[in-house]
Amino acid sequence: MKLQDKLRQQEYDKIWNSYCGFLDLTMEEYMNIQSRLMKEQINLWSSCDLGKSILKGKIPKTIDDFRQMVPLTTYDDYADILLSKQSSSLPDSPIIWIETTWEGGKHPVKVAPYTRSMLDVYRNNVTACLILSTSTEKGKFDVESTDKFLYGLAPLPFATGLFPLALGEEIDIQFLPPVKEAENMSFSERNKAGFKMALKNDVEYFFGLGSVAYAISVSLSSLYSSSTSNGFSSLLKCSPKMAMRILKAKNRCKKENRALKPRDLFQLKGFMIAGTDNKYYKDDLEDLWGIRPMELFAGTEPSIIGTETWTRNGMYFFPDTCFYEFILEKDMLQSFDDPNFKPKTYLMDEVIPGEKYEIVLSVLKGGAFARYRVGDVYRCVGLHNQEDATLIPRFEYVDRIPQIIDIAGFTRISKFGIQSAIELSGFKVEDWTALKEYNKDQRPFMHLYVEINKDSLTMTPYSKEIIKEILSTYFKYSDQDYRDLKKILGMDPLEVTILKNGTFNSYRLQFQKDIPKMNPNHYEIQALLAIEKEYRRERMVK
Amino acid sequence: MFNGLYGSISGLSVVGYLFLFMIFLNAKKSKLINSFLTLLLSMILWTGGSLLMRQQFWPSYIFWYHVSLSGLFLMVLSYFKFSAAFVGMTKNKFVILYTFLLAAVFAANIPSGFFLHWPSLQIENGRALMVYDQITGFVSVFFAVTGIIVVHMVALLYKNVRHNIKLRKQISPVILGIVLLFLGHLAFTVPFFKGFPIDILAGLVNVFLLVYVLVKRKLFRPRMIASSNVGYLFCVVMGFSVFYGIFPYIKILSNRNPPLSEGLLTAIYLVVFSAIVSFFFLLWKQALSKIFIQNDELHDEILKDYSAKVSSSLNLKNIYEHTAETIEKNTDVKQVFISILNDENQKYTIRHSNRSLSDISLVLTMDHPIVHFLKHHNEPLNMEEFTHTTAYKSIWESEKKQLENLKIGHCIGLKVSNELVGIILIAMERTSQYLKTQDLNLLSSVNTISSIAIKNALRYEKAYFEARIDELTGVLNRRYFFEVLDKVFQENKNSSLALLLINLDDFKLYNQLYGVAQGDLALRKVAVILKGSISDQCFVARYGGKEFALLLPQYDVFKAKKLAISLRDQIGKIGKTENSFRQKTLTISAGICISPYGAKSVKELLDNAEHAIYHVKRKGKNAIKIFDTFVSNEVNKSENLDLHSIYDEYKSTIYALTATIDAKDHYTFNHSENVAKYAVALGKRLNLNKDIIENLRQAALLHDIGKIGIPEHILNKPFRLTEEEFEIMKGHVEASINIIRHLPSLDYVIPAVLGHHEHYNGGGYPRRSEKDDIPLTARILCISDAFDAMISKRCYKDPLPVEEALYILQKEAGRQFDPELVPIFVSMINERDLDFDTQLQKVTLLSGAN
Repeated sequence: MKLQDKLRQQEYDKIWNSYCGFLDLTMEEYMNIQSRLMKEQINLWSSCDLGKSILKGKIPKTIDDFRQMVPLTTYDDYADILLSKQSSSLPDSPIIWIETTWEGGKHPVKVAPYTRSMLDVYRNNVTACLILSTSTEKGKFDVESTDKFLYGLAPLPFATGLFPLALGEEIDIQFLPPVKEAENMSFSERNKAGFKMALKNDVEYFFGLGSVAYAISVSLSSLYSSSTSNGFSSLLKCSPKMAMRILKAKNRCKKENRALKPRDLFQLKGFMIAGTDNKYYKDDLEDLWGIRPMELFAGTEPSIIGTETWTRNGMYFFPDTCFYEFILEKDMLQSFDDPNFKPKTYLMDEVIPGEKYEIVLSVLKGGAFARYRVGDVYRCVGLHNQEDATLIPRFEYVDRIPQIIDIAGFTRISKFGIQSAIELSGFKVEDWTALKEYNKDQRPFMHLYVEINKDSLTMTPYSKEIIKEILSTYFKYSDQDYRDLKKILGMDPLEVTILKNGTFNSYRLQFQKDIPKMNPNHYEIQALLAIEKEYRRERMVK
Repeated sequence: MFNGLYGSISGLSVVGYLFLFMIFLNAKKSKLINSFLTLLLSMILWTGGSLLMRQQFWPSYIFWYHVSLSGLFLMVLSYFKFSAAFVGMTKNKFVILYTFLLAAVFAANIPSGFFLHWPSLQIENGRALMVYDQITGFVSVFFAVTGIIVVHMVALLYKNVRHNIKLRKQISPVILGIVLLFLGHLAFTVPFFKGFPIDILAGLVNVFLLVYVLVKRKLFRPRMIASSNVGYLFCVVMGFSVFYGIFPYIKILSNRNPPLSEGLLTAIYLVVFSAIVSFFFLLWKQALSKIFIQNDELHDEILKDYSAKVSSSLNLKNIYEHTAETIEKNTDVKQVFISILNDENQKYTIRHSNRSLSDISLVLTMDHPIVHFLKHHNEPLNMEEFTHTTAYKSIWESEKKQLENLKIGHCIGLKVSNELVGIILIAMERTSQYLKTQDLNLLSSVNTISSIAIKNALRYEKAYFEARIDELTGVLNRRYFFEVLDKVFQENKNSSLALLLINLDDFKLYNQLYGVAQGDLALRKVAVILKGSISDQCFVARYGGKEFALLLPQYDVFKAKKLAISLRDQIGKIGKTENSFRQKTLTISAGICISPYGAKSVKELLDNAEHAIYHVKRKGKNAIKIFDTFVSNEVNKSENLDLHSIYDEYKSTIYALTATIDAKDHYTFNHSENVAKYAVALGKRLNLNKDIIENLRQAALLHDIGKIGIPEHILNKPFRLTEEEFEIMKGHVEASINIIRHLPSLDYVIPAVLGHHEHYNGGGYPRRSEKDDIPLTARILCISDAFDAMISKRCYKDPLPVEEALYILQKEAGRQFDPELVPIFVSMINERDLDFDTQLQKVTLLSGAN
């Protein structure tokens, strides 16, 4: 029975239990679900060509065997089979292939297969998110089939495009604009059309990447003025309820002498955000919409894996999407320095509050990925929570792994990508390191510290503006998302600092190692800058 | 005289309006339907208000007077909107103006009834009467306002329909309705109608006229939204309302003298009530047949609409979508899958489903019992019934499970002249659920239309693909590639676009070595590798006979190079998968150019990628080159080279290499030159053309060049070679090829060199070719090489006499040697051609000495 039918029959307790019941699991019950589903997955995965290609003749019988025999994998291990969409080599037939950019990969995109069983789980879990986004306490929620959804995410073939389709199997919620129309629209067209529709007939939900949701929200005033340029006649197009709200909002904003905010027009039931850097947007979004967004985590390879609850205080992982393993942060860092190092993994019942972990996923229900390093880091914030009466660990999203610089969930820049841009630009860069930093408004950007070849400095005039401009151009050519970052969010994500010649070498001599190319830690970058400062001081003395 | 009728006519009207309102709420919404709904609402307010006013309902009759008046005002406005929508005007500024105007008049009238005062309540014969006795001249304001709107509306209609005969016909009932409404209100002032709600009756008729207009305009399908049950309910309610109205008159019968018995009275009531209900029932039936479309007509209409959509389309996707949509919308099915026969693998695979995330992995093979059934029957297959047949026993468990999961209840064959082109699979809420007869009829007709449409579209699709797809490899052909290139280049103007050209090295040789069939197979394998290594956004095309082009949007130089390396590695493994013999390794020369870094136009992109590939070819093949200025310059310089002098360019190298071998293998001194002489002589005897003779000479000179890599102790071993040593020795053929490959433009000698150890009966090496599969030049070389070896001294043997060598050649003809060439060679030697007479004499002497 669909959610809609259950709602019609007012089976609210049943609804809560079937979709959000995982929040009541004890640790033991949670692990039982994990291990039973993992056993099923081991059988499926080990007997398919993809599994065999990674297992190399070994046959795991138990989960322990599996963890011993299957190495930690990355997309490279799957690329040959998945990119050519060899369905017959997979654990189960895929229904749909989802796509995303593959930064630093051998192709611009990577694809992930979704089986029917995975989609069933996905559907149930997005419904759980929908319910939880409206909940104020355990068992209390407010979902109706007449609700409307303003959807600020990309359509298929991206993972976000699955959301309305899966939800559509459960409930006839109306998406603004309708999914079929939205597929043929650009990002801004979609937002404009959605907002116009919301303005006419109200909207109850909003879902977007934190950064995108923020960009849409702040541009609402301009969207509003363009939508209501005909003044009174446009008011007549709105429902009486909305017309009244618009008039009130105008009046209030005039009195308070401020720009219009979404909360003046809409009273959302549910507000969901996904992606990275959400913590820097949540407060602003709450101020704009009058409701704190609920964060959920989903990715192309694993589908939707976790959600916050009404407490908005940490995410819980769904027990039936993936089998979760965790690598301690220090082991993760060591594994990047030493490719031969095999980091130990911990299970959900072995995590410790306060620790940061890189997550390792085995997608259940016939999924392709096993012991897959998806590249995300989480911090465990607690093993149980009195506030929402849970007994399972909850996490907060920290960021991507240090090898990747993710700007606002929009673009993922790898060492390879930066190297490519530098090489393409023709700059004689002697050495460089890149770091994700935040500006005074707590917005992320990439800070590139470069050292230019001494000889070329005499030939070509370099300034940080020139370097920034040219590198930006090459980033835009080679990275679609980078281009969109500027176009959609209006962000300039690059900052360049030119270091004195010899700085990197001095660092090398002083510390007997190279500074990491990607995301060196705070102390490492401070040490580098201190060396540079010393250089400058010496020059001034001379 | 009409007092009793007032209530019943008003009640009847309200019920009628409500009934229509309910029906139209279910109709597909449009501007016109919405304005009609508003019109109905105004009628309800007007008539209902009037009825409740006369009933002096709570809170007061004055309140209901205002409600009724508001309905009247709204009616004028909504009529205006309805008319505007009817003639297709999407926006009308006057609507706002009129809304204000009417609202102002209405609001001003509320406190004191300034324009139209409410009626006073008078009691006459114990009955309450509403008398409008306070009408003043100000009522003209009210009439003026509404009159302006009505005039404007009529003008609007006139303006828009005067040149449109079709619309004029459609609009006439609307005009008639307006006239009736107007007359109804006018008649209100005629004393005859005092107390009779003529205006309300006119309103009711008017509404039914409007319904008629909407039906004619096919804006909704009444049959679909007005079910039989609704009809029966309508008859009973209407019957009751009328009965209620005339009840007081019938009741008079009970007062007559002598009084009628209670039983008779009840019987009379029942007969009257039944007669009224029957009347309405007949009316309903008539309406269904006249106004509302009947099932058959509806069926025809759906099919007409569907046929119009699919018959004119050759786009398979559109046809699938319309077919699934028509079935889903008009029948009780849950889901529709369309499975089409794949010509290549002869399996029915699902190509479309009306739900985006459906499992479409169900495959029906030609021997599947469902396919068998549909081939031999014209009626749909009902799964529930099919499970009880013997044929069902042959369905696999996994297939049963899959059919069950999809809830397939019916399968309908898409047949064109007895050919089953596809199957429509119908999923029901429950698999055991049966389709209604009317749904089956509709499906059958949809099926007939779709079968032909799909068959035609499949033919078109095939022709479309054949025109664009290379038949051998299944990738885009060269002509279509240029179309795609232009399009993709434009699309990626703001990002990067890589063009990777891949040229298979020595492919002419590959064809000569293994035959054209093997060459074609290799090309197909290369195409599979290329297609399998790129994503959906990229394109592969066969750019030339042995050249492929890959168009890679958003690839930068590094990604393109990485891909080229991966492709090179995969293509290199093609020959290795064959276990029967070792095939020549396929290598590629690849050229890459990226826009915008390396090219600013499509032409530049192509030219530069070709320059890069040309550069690789000139440098010895088997490499990947990214176009840059350096490459560009270099290629331009070397373009002027005289290709015909290429052999001379390498002549010294060849002689140097030959000399090295001869020096290394002391006993084969001058062997290469001798073989060349024999081979050339035999070629001349065979009247081969100059080019082939030159080819033979060069091949003979180079045939043992690979021995350069064989250890000297094996080459000069005085005893029989061990198996392992022999294997190493055999490798000299491949080694020769690898050396020759680096001498550009000498490709053509490779078949002869590679095949000179092949035996006519297939027993040689390295690829065990036989008979005509071995190139003629190689067969000539084989005889020449063997003859010279036999008559020469080697570390492991003494020279044989010429006669004995010739005898062995003849003995081995048909086994090791070509049986047609051996007699020619023998006669040539026996005739002692001057060219090699001296050599033979030397051999004879040597033989004699031993």
